[in-house]
Amino acid sequence: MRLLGKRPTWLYKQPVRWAFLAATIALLLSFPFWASRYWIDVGFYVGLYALLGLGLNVILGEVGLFNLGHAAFWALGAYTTAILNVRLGIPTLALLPLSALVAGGCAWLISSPIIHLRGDYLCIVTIALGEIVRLVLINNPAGLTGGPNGVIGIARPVFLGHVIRTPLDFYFLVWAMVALCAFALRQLQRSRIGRAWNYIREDEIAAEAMGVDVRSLKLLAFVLGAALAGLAGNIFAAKMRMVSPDSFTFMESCLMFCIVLLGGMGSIPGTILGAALVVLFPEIFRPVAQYRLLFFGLALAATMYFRPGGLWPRRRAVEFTAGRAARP
Amino acid sequence: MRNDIVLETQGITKRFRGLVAVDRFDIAVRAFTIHSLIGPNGAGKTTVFNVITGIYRPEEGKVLFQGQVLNGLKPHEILARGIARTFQNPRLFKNMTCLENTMAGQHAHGRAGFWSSILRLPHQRREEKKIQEQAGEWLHRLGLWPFRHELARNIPYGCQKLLELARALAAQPKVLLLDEPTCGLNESEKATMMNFIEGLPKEGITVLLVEHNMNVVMGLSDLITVMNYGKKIAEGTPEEIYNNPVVVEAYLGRGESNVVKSG
Repeated sequence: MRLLGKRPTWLYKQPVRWAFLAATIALLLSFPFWASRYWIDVGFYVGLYALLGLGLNVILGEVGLFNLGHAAFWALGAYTTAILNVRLGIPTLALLPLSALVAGGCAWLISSPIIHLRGDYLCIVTIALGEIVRLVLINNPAGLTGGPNGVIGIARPVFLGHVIRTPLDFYFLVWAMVALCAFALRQLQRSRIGRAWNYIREDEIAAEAMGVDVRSLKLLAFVLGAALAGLAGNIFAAKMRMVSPDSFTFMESCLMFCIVLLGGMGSIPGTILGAALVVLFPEIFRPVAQYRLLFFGLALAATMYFRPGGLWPRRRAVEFTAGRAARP
Repeated sequence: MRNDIVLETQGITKRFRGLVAVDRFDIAVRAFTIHSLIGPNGAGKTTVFNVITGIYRPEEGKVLFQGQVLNGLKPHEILARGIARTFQNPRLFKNMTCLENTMAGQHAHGRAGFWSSILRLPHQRREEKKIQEQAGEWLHRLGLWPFRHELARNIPYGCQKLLELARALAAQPKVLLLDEPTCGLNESEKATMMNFIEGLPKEGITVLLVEHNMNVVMGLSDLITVMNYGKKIAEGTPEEIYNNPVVVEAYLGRGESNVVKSG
């Protein structure tokens, strides 16, 4: 029974979905071999924002926690890489997991006292958090962050003797991470943990009454989302070879928020699509640069009006692997 | 304490600012019975439920489950001990499927963690299968199986009520708290619901029921507790309550008959 009209069921047929996935992967793999250097770089940024969007999607999309300070965790990952690499000479690639750990650990410390806040209240606290992190970086504590100039001279990452230097190399590095994270997050979505996150988003009181440990699961989502931002921070620092506080403004947090809302809350392909749109839109409208933000705003408003669930909302269905349950 | 009493409150008091919603309230629910809690609107029935399930913390008094104190436990810990509930207005996970909703009941009995979920380890797969089987079984029994892939917000109201019951039962509770399960249902849905609730004690599930519909209460209950202004004003079998002038007064107001003090 469908009360809300017919869905195009052929789109959801398994072979169609596999074919679509294969076509997407083929496009992403072949893209840098026929595109110009400039567009390969654009492709890199799509991947970078997809990674950031996937992290925020766990917090905002899956659990429904309004986090408008996600750039702070991105900054923490980037600065961890920059400082440890420049000061101690630890290889940049080896800092990839460490950046995620530091960002995740800080997220745990920071969010523990505020995680019980609801809706708008949490939103305001996270805005403040993002600004505090940025201002601390500008103020150069203990001479570590280099103040407004940031940290320069980050070494290029080396992977099995191959120096990652060209736009092509970075394109593949970032998209490999996106693929890995998207896979892991999809596994989580279809598990007890992913469902519990959604229960909390739908109705926190009912979730609690049904045995969901709301606090721990919210913390887990926050830490995981921040850790992914930390990963993105490491790759970003390695690519730019410098970090400065200008990169981690409130505007960046807003962009990530838009990525998740545009794509569809809790939808992994939606988030990647959202990242592509948010990065490509300014590129396409470069000729009319002064009206870019206007168009961007219009597009967002139109999406919210015509497709409030996002451009690619998550399809909800549990594959019933247990077979038809026997009647007792 | 008699040892067949499974759930008990001793003098619980819950205040909201100046208002005393529940005032030194005692109730003792015997195992494998249907015990009803009735009273006029605003008598504090739902507040009692919220205190038992840990959503509110009482200012005074104790909640005992199988002889153990529940005070201070969080709602999810109380569910894991074996007390599940439904809500007066269904609080379903509206944008999730009926199957996913029912699987929620099994959450507290699952063990699979972060890494085993990502890596789909064998024990995680077995557990998922078990969760789905449990949920599917209750969907069958409540006649909701055809709706399993529908979003909860898209199914009719009567089915939403049943779905909430399925979700609570999937938690394998020892005590089930039902908050007005027949409210808003039509006659045939009401009959289905009553039949189902009546059979629960035989399956080892004790029921504490809040209900306004007197036909339902009189037909199902083994014992009835009447509340007014947060206090217990009467307790007894359906016949005793039906003929109790204090109860009549609480519901209909003081008439010309003499007022009898209850014990």
